[in-house]
Amino acid sequence: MSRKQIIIGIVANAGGVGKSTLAVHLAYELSKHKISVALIDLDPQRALDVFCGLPPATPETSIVGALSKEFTGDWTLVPAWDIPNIEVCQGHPSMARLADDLVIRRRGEYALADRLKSHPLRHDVVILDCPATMGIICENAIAASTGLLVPIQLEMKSISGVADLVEWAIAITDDLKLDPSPQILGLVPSLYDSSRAIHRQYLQQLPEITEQLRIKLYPHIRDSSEFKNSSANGLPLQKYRPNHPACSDFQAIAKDIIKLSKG
Amino acid sequence: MGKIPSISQRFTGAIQATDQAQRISELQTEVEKLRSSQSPVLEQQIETLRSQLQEQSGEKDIEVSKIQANPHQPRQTITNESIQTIARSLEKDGQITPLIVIPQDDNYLLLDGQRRWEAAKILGWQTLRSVIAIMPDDLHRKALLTFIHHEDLNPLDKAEAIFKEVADVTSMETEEILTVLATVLRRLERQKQTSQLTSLVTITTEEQISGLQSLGVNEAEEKLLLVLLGLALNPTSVKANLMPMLSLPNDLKQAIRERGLKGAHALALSVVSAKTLETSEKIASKERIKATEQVLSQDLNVAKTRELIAQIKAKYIKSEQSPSKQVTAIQRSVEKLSKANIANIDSQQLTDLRTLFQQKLAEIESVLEITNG
Repeated sequence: MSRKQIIIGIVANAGGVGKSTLAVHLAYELSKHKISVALIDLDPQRALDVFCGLPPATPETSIVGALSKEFTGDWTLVPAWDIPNIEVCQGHPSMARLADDLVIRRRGEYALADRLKSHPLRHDVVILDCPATMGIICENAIAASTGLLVPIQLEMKSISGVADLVEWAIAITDDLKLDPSPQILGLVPSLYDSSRAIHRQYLQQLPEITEQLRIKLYPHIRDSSEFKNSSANGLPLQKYRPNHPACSDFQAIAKDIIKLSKG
Repeated sequence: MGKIPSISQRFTGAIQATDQAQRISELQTEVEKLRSSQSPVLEQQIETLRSQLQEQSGEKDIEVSKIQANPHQPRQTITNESIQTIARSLEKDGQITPLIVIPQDDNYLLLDGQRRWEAAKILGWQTLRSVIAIMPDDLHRKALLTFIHHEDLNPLDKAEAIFKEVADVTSMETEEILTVLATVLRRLERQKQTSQLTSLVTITTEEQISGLQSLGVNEAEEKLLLVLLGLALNPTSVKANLMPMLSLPNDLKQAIRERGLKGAHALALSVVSAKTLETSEKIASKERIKATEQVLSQDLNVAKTRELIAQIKAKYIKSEQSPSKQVTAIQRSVEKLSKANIANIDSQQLTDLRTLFQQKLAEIESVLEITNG
């Protein structure tokens, strides 16, 4: 039986909490296990270009082209870090305008899901990097996803954002009548700095909450300035500093997704 | 360093929503279980049909993509969980019972096996073993009779199933059915013959026909009323309780089907429309969906639902509704004119006051006449 394509939406209701960091490092980790990955940048700020060291795309060669009404089925995908098994569908600032258009388009919430269904990507796993707002773009990501990952920074702004997001995601899956509805695969504590009291304290409080939410809590991803250095070089940490301890922080998530992908 | 606020109460809403979603899916499973256990007649009928068909025509592998769901299937509530369960069983043990399908143009209409079909799609199966049936003339009617007198069938499924049957028998369009039914009932009401019509529900078909003739209904009306009476339905209550279901907005239809919203609540909520709120479709439907959510989550009764709707209406049509403070003040002053202090007023002043009141009264009446049409 053929492998089932896994589509992971990475969503968070706050900026700078490590969505793109999670997306690229997870993609790299998966590729090490011979899993092919497509990264789709839905964020108009196109952070994936930076993380993957790519020159900007034109609207036509970006996700904006793929979601436009003129799309003919040719996805423009660019390999990341010269790894043929990781390809990126780049973002573009005009995604913000396209979002306004989607609001009034018929099946606007399902635009991405429809594309991925009628013109499927060949990859085992598709990772959707979303903007930090609960708008139509995220609704598209949720409608297209088989599962969601939610990075959470252990500070009040991000935590409140996640609380709202979980509630919203439940309402959206219901409104959109998604069947099967994508489950939240887990919360991923990110940018964790053990020298900060607030991080330690909130990390301790999280398991009780995730248990009540019936959501898995993944091991935290530590904060490190090497993440910033590697992204400045357009590389994932695993390639930039292969021996850095934070490289192993993505293994648990990758393992679960591999298991899902192999059914 | 001071105490850091706890994060747990931030999640109260999210936890509630999670619990609610869980509860809903449990209830759906329960409803489905109840429904299948409560309609043994239909299950039995399908079983007999299946064995007859297997003997006669044998089985055939049919492409999953050529099978279409039966839009008139009275059982509309099928949960995702039960499909997953079937998918697992299909994967493990293969397909044990064939589907029943009816040829329709190039495709096949699914008569039995909706969940196996959905599960096969999830599994990516190309074909399913099926027996091909010719639509039995009265299967829908028998299935319908089994279903419509179940308390747990929601009014929307009921309405659609009944109007489908009426359309099949009378070959009228839904629109026409609605008009004819409304017309005949209005006329009988005017002639004060509604109770005679109602008394026809419980008698034999021959008596129903002669009863209808004595009510002086025309041919189309008779045909339509006979179908309803034949299903042991009271036409007046079909019009009052079921007809309005058909024109509900989609979100309410969905709430009835998938969340168990009651018919009376749905009708009350349908008042929240762009027209009554004097606003856009989008805002109105947002308000309606929000209100529906509240009705369901707080399990509001019909009276409370109407209160909620009145509040929503008040929010949008404020200007006209709120009483004028000026008028309230004048009312209060006028009320202060007791008989005792009128007696002490100079008669010229009283005459002036009377003239003023008469003049104002005339003005008020003319305004009221205009607004009341």
